[in-house]
Amino acid sequence: MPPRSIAETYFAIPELMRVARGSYKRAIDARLAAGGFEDLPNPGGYLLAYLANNEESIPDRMEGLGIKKREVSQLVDSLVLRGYITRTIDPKDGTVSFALTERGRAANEASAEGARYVDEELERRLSEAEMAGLRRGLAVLGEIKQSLPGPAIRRGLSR
Amino acid sequence: MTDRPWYENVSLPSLMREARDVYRTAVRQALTDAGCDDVPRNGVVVLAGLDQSVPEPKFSPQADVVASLGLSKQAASQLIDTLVLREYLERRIDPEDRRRMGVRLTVRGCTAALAIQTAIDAVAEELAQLITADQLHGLRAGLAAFREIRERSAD
Repeated sequence: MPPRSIAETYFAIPELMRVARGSYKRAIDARLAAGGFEDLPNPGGYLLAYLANNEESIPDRMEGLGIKKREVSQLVDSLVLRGYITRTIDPKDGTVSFALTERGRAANEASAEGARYVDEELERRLSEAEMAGLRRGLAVLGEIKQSLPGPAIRRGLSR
Repeated sequence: MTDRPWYENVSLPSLMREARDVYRTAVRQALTDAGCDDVPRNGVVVLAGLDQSVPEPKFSPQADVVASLGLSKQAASQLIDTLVLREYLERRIDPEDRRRMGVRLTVRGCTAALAIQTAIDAVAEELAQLITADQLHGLRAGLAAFREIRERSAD
């Protein structure tokens, strides 16, 4: 009898969610360690990526990941202290801005390489339809989570 | 301009992170509503896996109950102690093998287990309403692939 696949072994989505955790983290951590970036605080990689992509409203994006404002503030302090980002205060209006250092850019590239490895492995193992289902399913689960504590927050999901 | 869904522009790690605690959040809320907000984190898996027959749930070997958690023997034992002290579990020496312990749900444990199952079912129902069977298959296949890739990364 052929061995059962993981999807057959773990029947319920909560179980599959549990066993799926850490795939990106493990791949990214391996590349960060190889590059000498073991002191990158978690989840600093997201913040570095947002800065690298010139994302707007980074605090909102971080909060969207379930990271509280106070935690973001502590994370920024750690990233500045460990040389991943710089913090500049405009003397005219007191506006605070952040930028990646060379070390920050290199760490971001190492993280991106780890994430790319997982993405490419996924695309190799899944059909286009399965990839679309995975993205849609995760998005819906995220939206269900957001709707739980208070009023439903929907972002135009239609079947 | 194409009308692409918002999640097409979000990276998979971000989608994973946003989705990952949905069941835990739902279960925590349900336990709080049921007056069972002192269930320890790993206790949810223990309670959900036990027999819920009414009025007398069956005893299960303690070792089997904690096996899937991947905890040390000491941590697993402490978890069961906590669940017994908080009146979610009843523990006894196995009458057929006195070296082994058995546990079963108390009335409070059954209340908590029901709340857990109801919360999980509610998420599953909402998920089923919002995605097609093919998309659900993709979600399952994708999550399984994540696990396989994670294991390969460890090599």
